[in-house]
Amino acid sequence: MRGRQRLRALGLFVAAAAWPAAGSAHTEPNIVQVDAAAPLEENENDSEGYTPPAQGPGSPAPLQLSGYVDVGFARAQGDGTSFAPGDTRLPVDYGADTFAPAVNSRGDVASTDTGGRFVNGFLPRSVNIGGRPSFLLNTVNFDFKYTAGGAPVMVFTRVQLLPRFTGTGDETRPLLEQAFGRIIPFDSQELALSIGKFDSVFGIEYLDNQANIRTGVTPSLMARYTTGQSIGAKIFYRVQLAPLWSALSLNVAATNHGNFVESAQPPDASLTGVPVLSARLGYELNLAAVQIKLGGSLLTGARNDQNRDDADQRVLGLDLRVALYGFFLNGEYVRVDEEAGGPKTTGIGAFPLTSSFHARGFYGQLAYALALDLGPLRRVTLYGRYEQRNAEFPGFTPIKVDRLTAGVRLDLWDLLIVKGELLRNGERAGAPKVDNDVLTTSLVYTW
Amino acid sequence: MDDFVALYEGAGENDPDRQLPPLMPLGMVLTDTGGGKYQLALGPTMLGDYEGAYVTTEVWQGFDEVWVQPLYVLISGRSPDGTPIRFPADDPRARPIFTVGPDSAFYSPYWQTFYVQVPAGSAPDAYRSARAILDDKALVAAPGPARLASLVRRKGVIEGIFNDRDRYPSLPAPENVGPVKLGGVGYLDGEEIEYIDLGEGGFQWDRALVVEETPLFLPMWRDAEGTLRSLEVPTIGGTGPLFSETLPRISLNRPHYGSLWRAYVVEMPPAARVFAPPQHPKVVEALQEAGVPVAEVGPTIKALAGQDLVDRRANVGRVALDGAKCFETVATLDTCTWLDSQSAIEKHLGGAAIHKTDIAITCPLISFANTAVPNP
Repeated sequence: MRGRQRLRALGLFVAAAAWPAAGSAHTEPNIVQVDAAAPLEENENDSEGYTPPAQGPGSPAPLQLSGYVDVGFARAQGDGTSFAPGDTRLPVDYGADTFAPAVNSRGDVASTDTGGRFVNGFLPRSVNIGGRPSFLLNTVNFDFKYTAGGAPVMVFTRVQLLPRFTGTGDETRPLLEQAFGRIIPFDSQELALSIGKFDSVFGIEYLDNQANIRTGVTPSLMARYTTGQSIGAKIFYRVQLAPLWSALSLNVAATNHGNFVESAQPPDASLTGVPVLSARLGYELNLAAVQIKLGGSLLTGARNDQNRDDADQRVLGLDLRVALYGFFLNGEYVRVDEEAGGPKTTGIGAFPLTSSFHARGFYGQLAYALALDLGPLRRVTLYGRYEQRNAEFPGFTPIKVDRLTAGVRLDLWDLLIVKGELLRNGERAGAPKVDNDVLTTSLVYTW
Repeated sequence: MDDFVALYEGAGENDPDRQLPPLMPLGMVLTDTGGGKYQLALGPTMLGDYEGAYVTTEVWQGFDEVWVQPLYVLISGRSPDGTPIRFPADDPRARPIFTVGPDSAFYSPYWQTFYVQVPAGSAPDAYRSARAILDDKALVAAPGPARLASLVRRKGVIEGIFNDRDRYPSLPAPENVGPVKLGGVGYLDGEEIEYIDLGEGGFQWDRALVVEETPLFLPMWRDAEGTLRSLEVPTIGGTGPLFSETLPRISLNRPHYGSLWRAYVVEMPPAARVFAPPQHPKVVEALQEAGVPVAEVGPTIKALAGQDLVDRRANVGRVALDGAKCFETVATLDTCTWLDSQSAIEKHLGGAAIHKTDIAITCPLISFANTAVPNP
């Protein structure tokens, strides 16, 4: 019975997936989608099943290596930026959404070239292709997972290589995206403690960070606030409410900087000396015909792009996922408030100061996944996403931007994904209208 | 400007971030005239052989750089010689369109004018924001002159200039103070905003749109306990980077420098003395209240009166390197080594006595060499 309980616990761990997903090397407890449509008891048979020995011949190798390669082709309108020609307001990144012309799953944009105009660090990473169509090697990802035999300990490391044209030459940036140890101390409890550098606990979009998991190509306009990795400790706990076909989960983390992406706040050290707390409380309903997941998230603490411990940041979020007969609806609302602080340091560089800042935004994505058995073609997914972002630096013109994204994804065999996506970026208020739409594709080999 | 008014109203009493730095007492910037009204305090500065006077509109602390921001001025066309044809003063389209508000950390009163020729027949309210202008791809924005204009959200609270010649005898007579145009109305993000117009020119900027600073020296002295304290005398205006021997840029009696100053503390040597004859009791009183040693002056200086005294107003408040000796007679007064210019400070005190601060000040000269600086 003990073995059956353990199996059930693991099965529930993997049920809360980023869906639709074709399988993944995701390391969080919520990993790979299983058939959650059926009640748990129907997934079990009368047999104990085969449980491989923890050690010795036949046991799984303690060290597992996996990864993916994400190759893309992208073309952005205009000069690949969101900067309006002739706009000499400074800093120029305060009057536009620099993250809008994204080209890949990392949220890298086509360009951040300001033409010499001063910026204050509100910048994403860039592939520096400007408005020229280009092939891109977006990510080469290596996952190393070590599971100790006989101990509920797992060590995970994710290393990525990011070849980029810098504007003045070529450079491949190695990135240690994650490195953590996880302990699951009790067989009977869905309780996991992780220490190291790990994914965000905020919202749901972080689950789509990796190109081989994300339904589409690019992240949302609000992802910059919620999907970053950081160093610290986190606890995940889930309790099943079996009579209600439901579960409650709590994910809590104390980290250097919270959930902002590293181009916004550096994750590898605390600049303020004060940990940032973040958490998500989730509810999930797993019925035969429909699965619904709701969550509320909070982040609070000193902003980690400066060194004053009294310059606070607060992020609130609500998320929703619904799976229904092949349709998948994901959505989030995020609210960001930051106080002004000292001189600014991001993952990209140092800048004069940190302004107070406010942002409100949401996205909603609808996808339909059609399972097929046509030779190598296993699944076709059509998806669309609409999103808005309102942002304001006090004293600067508030801006409102939106985006309509549409795309298709093909899953071939079990290891190749092909995606094509169109981003229609719009400046609804405040920001000057610019040509910054993007057509992008991604081919992801998973191994 | 709104922050200075708020300080008088008690805002930020327990918030050091909202207070002016100790080197910049509020009274040096703004004077409360009662009834919710204020006047810009006219500040004296020594410029070597000349006297100058300025008003202060912004104080920057912790800013290494201040940037120029764009200002749009709508025009209906150009005359044959290329001069922009502006709309009549009573036409709302004559109002300048500012682009960054005073609440922004990157707000700047230093503007680069861009003339924008609007199509004939365009609606009067078609272009009242930067976005409206940038979105109309048919418009061309041609660069124009620099303009200094300080935005004020609270309308009608600034009502003039306070010229305290009793406290600072070197200040010019009112007729020699240039006009400061109060109560101007422009647009910011489509909404009206008031501004103080301090005229065209007066500053330069580099390719990165960073406004050039000029050093402003604040004389200090060290008391018996070794504490550095203000000397309560006029500031000393520089002309360029330290030890660069930059000549002042002046044309048509308008200095084309000296609107953004970087404050430097200058420690005066123990023997230096302020010229404060008893005929100016407010000066003497201020020095005594500050604990500054007041040099004794000789009988012939004490006897100065009438026009002879007026002729010496420019010396009052200056610091003499050898004051104890050269204040003996009127004749020796002319032999004083005055520490009243950047070159004099650099020559006689050296770099060790000069300390850069993190304070920059927008205080454009509105009187120069006892002559009003024009404000076209």
